[in-house]
Amino acid sequence: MNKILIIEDDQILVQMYETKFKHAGFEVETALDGVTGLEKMRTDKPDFVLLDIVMPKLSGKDLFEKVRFDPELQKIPIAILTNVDNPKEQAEYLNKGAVGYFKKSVLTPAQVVEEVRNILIHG
Amino acid sequence: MIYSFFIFFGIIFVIALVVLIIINSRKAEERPESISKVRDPVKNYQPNFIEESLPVEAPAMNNPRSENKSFIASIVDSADDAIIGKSLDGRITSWNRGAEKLYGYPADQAIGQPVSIIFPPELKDDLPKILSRIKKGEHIKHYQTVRMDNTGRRIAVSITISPVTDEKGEIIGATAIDRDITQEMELDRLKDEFISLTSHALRTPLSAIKGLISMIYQGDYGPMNKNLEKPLSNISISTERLIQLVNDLLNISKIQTGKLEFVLTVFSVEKSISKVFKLLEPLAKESKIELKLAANKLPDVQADIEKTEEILNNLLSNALKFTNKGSVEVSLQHNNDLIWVIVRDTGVGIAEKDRSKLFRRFVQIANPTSKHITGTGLGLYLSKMLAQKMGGDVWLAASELKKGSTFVFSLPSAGSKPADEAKLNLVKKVNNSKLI
Repeated sequence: MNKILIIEDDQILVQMYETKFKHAGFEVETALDGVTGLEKMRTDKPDFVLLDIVMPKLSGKDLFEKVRFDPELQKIPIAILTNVDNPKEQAEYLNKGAVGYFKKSVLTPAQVVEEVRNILIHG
Repeated sequence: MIYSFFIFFGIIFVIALVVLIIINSRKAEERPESISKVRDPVKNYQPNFIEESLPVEAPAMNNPRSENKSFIASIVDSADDAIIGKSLDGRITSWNRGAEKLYGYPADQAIGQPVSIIFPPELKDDLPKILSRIKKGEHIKHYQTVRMDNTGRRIAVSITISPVTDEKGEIIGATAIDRDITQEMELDRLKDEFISLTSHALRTPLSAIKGLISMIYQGDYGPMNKNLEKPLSNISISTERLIQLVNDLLNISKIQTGKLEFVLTVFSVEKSISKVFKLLEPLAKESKIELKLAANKLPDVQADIEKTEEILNNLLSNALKFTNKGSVEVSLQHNNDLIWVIVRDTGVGIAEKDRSKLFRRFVQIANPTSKHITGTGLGLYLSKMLAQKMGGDVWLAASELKKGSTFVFSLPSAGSKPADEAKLNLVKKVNNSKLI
């Protein structure tokens, strides 16, 4: 069973994605801020991380930068899950190794699950 | 007899004297008045802008050039902007009150100093570049950069520099007009921040509504009650409209401020059309309208894939909204440089009087179909703008009432010279496979 960590500060969205991923057969961990997210990346060793950008304490952007140069954590695939619509930022994340850039208002939770599955299967 | 002669001449002399005195006193009154209008500002004018940077002639009351110079001097002195004269070796030759105010140095301290005193250390290399351009006689207009005042504070400025020539036409220095744009920059930044925060704050609850409805539909919260299908579908449609409105408003604001970014990739427009067809299938099914694509072997296009799909979505959903029965058909044509996506519907058509308004902002054409699905009035306006920015266009090719309309969307093909890249606020051409 694949373990996914959802790092997202909006409680309603976290519950929504958690439900959908559980129904799709994933083991789900959640974190409501960047600091907790980073800790859980170390302790829970997820197979995949969905990372929000605008968050308290440690933003998704800062977390992403920290993880990029961490020999242990950089192996975990991270997809950005955001409502920030900025093509420049999108291109930057993808160039720096993010495996996806999903827009919450564009994709339904089912479509996000589909995208994550595809990435886990095809790399 | 002799007495009367003397008396007569005496009277004339006295009269003449009085007249002379009066005339003289009038002249005396007039002169200071006429001078005061022009000369006084010069008297108060310390920085000697004109005298320092232009060839000087002896001041003369009746010399129009001198009066002209005084006039210019008063303008220079009262200007809000910093106006600075410098020699070709970069020394300050004049310094108006605006410069005193902006940079903090009084004129007597600044004049004679190297102009580099107002350059922040990290921008010192700019000065030789500017001076060499001036020596070539070039003008520099509205150059946005940073300068430094006497306390080391950085100031955002817009600078216009022009060479100054002597009577023989040889360049002897330059004048710079520095405008403080700190406030404008701050306002721009605040506006951008406001728009991006607002759109983020609006999208978060909207994506929750959208996501949760889709999950109720999919049975994630137990079996769907049939009675709820219609209201849920209406909530879903309304939510999509709100999301679209937020996106459209954000895009318009970005276009207006020149901040809309395009990511150019090479892709198949047919695939994009199929993708949009999939999105619109429910709407087409509900209206019993056939969506058709006349396949055609086409070269790839070079454009922004998301914006292309947004335009296709706009054109196709419009066609569906305004068609009661029949079909919406997409066909494709191309030449060496362009690909045309032709969207033909069998709908209500567009009245002659409405055609010129179609591509204006917030204009909605009355929809006589029974569907009552309204848009934001921004779709066609945005589609046209976006297409044009990518080197293509969107226009109405034909329309007949009760018979239907044909819209055309053109895009540059991958092999053609790319769209005017200077116009696009290009990010980077990223690998197509990485785009979701």
